[in-house]
Amino acid sequence: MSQLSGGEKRRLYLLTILMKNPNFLILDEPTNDLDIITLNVLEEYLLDFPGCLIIVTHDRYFMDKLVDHLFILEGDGQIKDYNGTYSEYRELKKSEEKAKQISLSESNVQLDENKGKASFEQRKDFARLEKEIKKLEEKKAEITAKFDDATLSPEKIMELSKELDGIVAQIGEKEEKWFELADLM
Amino acid sequence: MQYLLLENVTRSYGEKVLFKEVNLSVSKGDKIALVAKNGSGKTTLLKVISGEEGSDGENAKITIAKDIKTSILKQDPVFDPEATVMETIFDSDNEGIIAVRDYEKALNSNDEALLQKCVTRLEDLKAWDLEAKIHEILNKLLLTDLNQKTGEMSGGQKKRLALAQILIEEPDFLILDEPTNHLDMEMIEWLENFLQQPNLTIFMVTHDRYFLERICNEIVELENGQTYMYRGNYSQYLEKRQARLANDAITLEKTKKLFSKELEWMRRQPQARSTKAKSRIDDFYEIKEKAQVRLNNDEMKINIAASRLGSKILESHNIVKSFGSKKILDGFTYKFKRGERIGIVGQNGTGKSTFLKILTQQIQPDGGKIVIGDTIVFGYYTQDGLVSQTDKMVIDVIRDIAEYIPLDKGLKLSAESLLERFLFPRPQQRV
Repeated sequence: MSQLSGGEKRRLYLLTILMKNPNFLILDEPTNDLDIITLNVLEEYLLDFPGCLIIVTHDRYFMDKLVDHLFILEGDGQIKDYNGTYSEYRELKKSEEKAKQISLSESNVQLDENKGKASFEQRKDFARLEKEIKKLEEKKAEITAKFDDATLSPEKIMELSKELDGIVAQIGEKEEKWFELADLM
Repeated sequence: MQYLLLENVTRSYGEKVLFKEVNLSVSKGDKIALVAKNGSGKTTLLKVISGEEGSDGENAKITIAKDIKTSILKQDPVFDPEATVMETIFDSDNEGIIAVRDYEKALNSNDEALLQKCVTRLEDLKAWDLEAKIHEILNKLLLTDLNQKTGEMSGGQKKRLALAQILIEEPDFLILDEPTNHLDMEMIEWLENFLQQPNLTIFMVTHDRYFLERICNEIVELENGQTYMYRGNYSQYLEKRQARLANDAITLEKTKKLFSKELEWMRRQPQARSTKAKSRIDDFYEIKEKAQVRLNNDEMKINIAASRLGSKILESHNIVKSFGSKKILDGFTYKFKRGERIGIVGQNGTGKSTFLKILTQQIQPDGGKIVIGDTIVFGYYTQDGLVSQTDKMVIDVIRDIAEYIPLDKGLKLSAESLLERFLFPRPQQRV
C-alpha cells in the first residue's frame, strides 16, 4: 500500500469507510487530494445518501452542494445553527458587516459633504499620521509606566515629565491634523 | 504578449508517459487552470515549466518571457529555517518593499530621526499603498508573528508564507500549484477576490471549483498524456468535456471497424510489392495503434448501500467540554433527524474535530450525555486516513473488513470487484 499516491490512499480509505454500509457519515476534510472527476462521483453518491451526513471541509463548492444547514462554531463553546448553504451564510455575514459600517458613517452625517474629497497626498498623510500617533501613544505609555518606579530621583522625574509633555503636545498636534483629514476621507 | 510557450514537451518515468508533445501558450491576462486526475503529472508539468525538472522530447521547447516578473508557488515551499517571517517576506529586490522593511524596522527602533528618514523615503516612492497591502496580505493569511522562524512553522504556515511572499511581490505572471491547500474558507474567498484582478496572468493547478468557475477563462485538462483546451470556465468545461468524451468514443469505434477491415486485407495480402500497397501497410500500423488505445475515462463507481436506519438517531443532551480554560462546548443540545445534512463551520482551534469525536463517543464530554440509536452505523472519515496499515497489500486492507460487500438492490460484490469500481485495477490491488 505504501506505493500508492496520496490521492489513491485517500480513495482506498474512503472505500474502507463506505464498505461498512454506514448510515451516519462524518467526513472530515474528504476533498483533500481527490481530483475533480472523483469529487463529482462522491458528491453524486452523497446527494442520494439516505442517512445522516456531517461534513467539515474547506471546499466551498462541496459544502454548498451537499449541506442544507450549518453548525457554526463561534468559539467559547457557542454553536449557532444556520439554516442555509455556506455561500448564503457568507453573503449574510458580508451584508451585516456593510450595515455596521453604514450605521457608523451615518452617525457622522454632518461631515459627509466633504467625504471622499481627500487627494492622494492627503490619504498618505492620513495613513502616516495614524502610525505616528500610535507610535507616540506607545511611547507615552512607556514613560507613564516609568513613574511607577518609587526609586526615581526628583531630577529624573522632572526629566521624564518634560519628555512626556513634549510627547503629549506632539500627539495633540498630530491628532488635530488627523481629525481634519478624517473629514475628507 | 506571450508569457509562456510550451512546444512538444514530453516527460516520462520509465515506461509511463506522463505527457506527450504538449503544446501550451499563456498570454498576458490569461487565467488558466490545469486539471487532471491524480498521478497524471500535473505537478511534474509545473516543475518542467519552472526548470526544476527536464523534459524528454528532442524538439521540446519552453519559453518564458524574460522582461516580465514570474513567481511560482510550489506544493512544498522551502525556506531558510533560520530566517524569520519578516526577513522572508522582505527578501526582495523591489525598492518599495525594501523601503517598507526599513520603515517597519525604524518603527521598532525608537530612533526618531531614522523613522523620519524612512517615512520620507516611503513618501518619495509613494509606497504607502504597498505598506497597507503587505499588512492586509499578512493579516488575511494569519501570518501575525513576524519574528517566528520559518524552521518552526508547520507545512500549512509555510505554504501561506510562500503565498504571501508571491502576492506581495506583485509579479506579472503567477504559476500556482494548489494555492487553496492549507487555507481556510475565508482565506480562500479572499484569495479568490485577489486573483480576479484583471492585470494578473495566472497558470495554476487547482481543484477548487469556485476558482475554476470565477477566476479562470480557460481550463486545460491533462488526460492520458495529452492536453485538451477548453475556453471558458468550469461549467463550460464540464459540458465540453462530455462532448469530447462522446466524440472520442465514436472516433474510436470507427477506427476499430476500419482496423478489422484492414486486418482482413493484411491477411489476404502478405507480400506488398507496389508502393500503393506499401503505403497501405504503413497506414495499417498507424490505424492499429489508434484502434488499440484504451480510453482511460473510467470513473469511480459507488453504489454501496446504507444500513437501515431506525427512528432514533443521535441525541446530544447539554454537552459541556473544555480543555483547560478553553471552552469547546457549553451546553450543546440537539436531536439529529433522518436524512439531515450538516456542514460544520468554524475557524481553526474552535474544536471542530473535538466536536465530531464527542458525537461519535471517542472523547468523553465533561458533562451531558450522548444517546445513540441502536441502528446507527457510523462511517467516520478522519484527516489521518489509513495510518497504521501502510505495510499491507491493498486487497488485504479491504478483505480484513469483508470478503463480500452488500450493494444496493440486494446485490453483493467481492473485494476485488469493489476495488476495481474504486479504480484499483487487479495488479494494483497486490501492491
